[in-house]
Amino acid sequence: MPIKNQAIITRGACVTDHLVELEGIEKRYGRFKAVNGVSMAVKPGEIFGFLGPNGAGKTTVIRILLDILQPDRGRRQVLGAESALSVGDRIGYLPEERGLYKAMTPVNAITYFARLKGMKAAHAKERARELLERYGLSAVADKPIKTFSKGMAQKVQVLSCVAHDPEVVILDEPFSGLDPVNQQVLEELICALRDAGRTVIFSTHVMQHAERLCDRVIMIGRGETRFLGTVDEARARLPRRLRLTTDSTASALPALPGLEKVAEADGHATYETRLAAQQSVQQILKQCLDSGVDLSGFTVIEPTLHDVFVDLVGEDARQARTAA
Amino acid sequence: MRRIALVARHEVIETVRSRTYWIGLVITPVMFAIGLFVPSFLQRSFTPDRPVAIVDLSGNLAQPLREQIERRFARDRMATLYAHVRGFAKPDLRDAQGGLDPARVPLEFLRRSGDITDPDVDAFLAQGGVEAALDRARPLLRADAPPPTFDPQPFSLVDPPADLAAALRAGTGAELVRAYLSGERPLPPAAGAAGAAGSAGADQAGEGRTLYGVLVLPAGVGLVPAGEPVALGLGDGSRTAQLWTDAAPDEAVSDAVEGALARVLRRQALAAEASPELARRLAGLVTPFDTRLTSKADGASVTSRDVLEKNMPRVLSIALCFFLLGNLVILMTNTMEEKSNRIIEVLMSSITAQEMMTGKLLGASMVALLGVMFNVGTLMGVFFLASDGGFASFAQDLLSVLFGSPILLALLFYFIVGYFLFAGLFIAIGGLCETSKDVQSLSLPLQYFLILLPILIWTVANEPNGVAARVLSYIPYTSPIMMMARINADPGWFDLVATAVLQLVGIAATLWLSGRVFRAGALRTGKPPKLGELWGALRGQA
Repeated sequence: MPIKNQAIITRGACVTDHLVELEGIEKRYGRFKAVNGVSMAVKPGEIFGFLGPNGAGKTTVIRILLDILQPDRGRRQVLGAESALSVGDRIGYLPEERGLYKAMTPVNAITYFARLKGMKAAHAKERARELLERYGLSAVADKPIKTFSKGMAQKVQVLSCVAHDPEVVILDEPFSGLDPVNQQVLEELICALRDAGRTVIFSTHVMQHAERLCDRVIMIGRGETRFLGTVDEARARLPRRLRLTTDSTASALPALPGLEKVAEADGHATYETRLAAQQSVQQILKQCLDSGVDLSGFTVIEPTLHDVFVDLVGEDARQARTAA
Repeated sequence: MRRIALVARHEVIETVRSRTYWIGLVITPVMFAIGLFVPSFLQRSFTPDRPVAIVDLSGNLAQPLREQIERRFARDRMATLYAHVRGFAKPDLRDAQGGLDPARVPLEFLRRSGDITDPDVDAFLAQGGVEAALDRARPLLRADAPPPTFDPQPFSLVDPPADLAAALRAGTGAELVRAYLSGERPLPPAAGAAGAAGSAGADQAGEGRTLYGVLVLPAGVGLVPAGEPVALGLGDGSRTAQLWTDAAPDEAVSDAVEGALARVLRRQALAAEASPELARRLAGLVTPFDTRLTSKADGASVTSRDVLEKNMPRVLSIALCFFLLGNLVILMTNTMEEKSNRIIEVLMSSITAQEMMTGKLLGASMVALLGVMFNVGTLMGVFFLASDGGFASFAQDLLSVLFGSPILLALLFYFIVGYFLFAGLFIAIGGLCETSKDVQSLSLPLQYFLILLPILIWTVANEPNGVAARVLSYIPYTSPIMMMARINADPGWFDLVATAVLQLVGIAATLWLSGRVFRAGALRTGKPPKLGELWGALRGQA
């Protein structure tokens, strides 16, 4: 499948190496500021994660990006156009709240949404059948959606949003409500889109998905950007941690900054300490052995995206919950 | 434009595919047909057994009263027979307007119920009644004419049981009357065959039946000056005819008895104070009376068709309101469901809110129009079938009015205009709400408006070109209904064109404003917005 990104960039109104750009976006609902100065840019062919706790403003930003909502302030550009609606045929969108015509069959539903995105009727129908076949729904292709399980209906909706082979796919909380098997199927679909050169933007508050899939992420808390960069850059924001398990007392351990006992069981205590960037793990191990500490566990813990998320927006989430 | 067409097409196909749509579509003509035919079918098929006994304490009223009631029943059969002849007469016996040609059809068959006098009935019965009249009518009827169907008599006359008559004469019959009317005491075999043998009003056997009513004619019964206490239902009852029944009587029974008694008493009074000859002669006279329209070039009389032509637009203006209400509620509910299903957001990533609303409106209006045309067509089919049946002349007049005036065209035009005028409001309400409860409370004022509007229009349309009617014609939201009601009253070209322009302006303004509300409400979750938020949406602050 040829990648059309170069063509997009050159024929767009604004020449840029980004497919999607938001700059200083602000949106208010009455006195409540839902989005406050969010800026981001998504490169062609990358998987971009939109991370934030519930109520952080992810959906509002996505709606603004899609021109479903108007920002109070700021500039946006999608596929070279100021309004995503004018290039809507090249965008696929799965909203957070799923909806399908329950009396329709999956073939007709996918065909209808693909036709709204500019496909010819016959081609759209052919494509709908092909997708249903590929994702194991061909047996129910002509049955009304109202007879489907939630997971099956959600699969149909995801297929509806990619049926017209969009260049940019925007998925708002695509994993919510899916069982682990279907989450895996969806992850594979996202990877397949990336492999086909498509750009995928998805929002989530489950960090494991973002960690496995995303090239870059933006973290939003209370409508403001808390982080923008690659997953590795995000992880690098937090120090590594060292976990020691021993039956020796704490006083026997070498002097380590921020050492704290985190667990105790069967006469063994577990301690954790932060590792400074330049600190050598081998040197700490040597110090322990030299001090006669009997180690039964010695592990270096790399920070996860989840840790970063909790560190950056955990307090926002707690405040939002309290306010609610 | 392509996307608007797609949304419209989707709206049409998905609605027409649903079973509920077809059920809704068929239910109106079915209910109409049921309302039209079932009551008369039931009346004919399940004739109630209502024996009524006359106990005459005056001694000179029972027989003339029986004869008068017989005349009443015979007159009903005559009217039915003559209507049958008018409906099924050969085509060559008709005039240019479709009525019977007086030059080729005996005048007897041109009579309607009000034209038939007592001497006419007596002559009819003397000539052999229905059978003989049918023989006379046969040469006038088409070869395929079915036999006429006569409504059953509302009651039959029986002789009173001897014990009841004796008890009432002795002034002690109240308990016995109650026992006979409640069925506690059935009629004895002897209580039958009242009046002349073989007469239609008489009953042939009384055994085992329950008496429906007892008419007691006291010795002093007679005409009294209006305003006397006894005329107002006061007094001891010694001068008042009394119809006793077990429950409130059918009006067909009480009216027939009261009317027959009044005729008998008047004739007896006239015969006593003037002459029996004069009384007989007056009973056979009618007053020639005619209403004429200046609008008719030949000065012809007002016909039942003219009356229909005047009233049909008013009736259809009411039907229009209900057509609109039914279809708009469906549109509003569908929109609400799309919103609560979150389909709207998927659609809004492909098309603008305005495009979506326009597409939905176009599609829904086509579906609604299809429904209206189907209903009108089916109703006309019902009338067409009926035009060859029982109420032939009414149905023929109706079809002639529908096809001979701009009424159908107006109905379609004002339906479309009315639909678009109100649809924007209903779709905006649907877009604001997520639950049926919210939809109901928010749309209640609009629904009440459309329910109460026909009452207002019906009253005002009495004077279709009066000030009130013209004012309502120039208010966009009442205009389509009012103009529909005025359409056959020659409202004038200026009113027709000016109101149509106003209606179109109203549509444009409503759609523009409701588009803003729809866009603001469509993505909103939870409760519908408050008034202040709606105002903000109207000002484009969504």
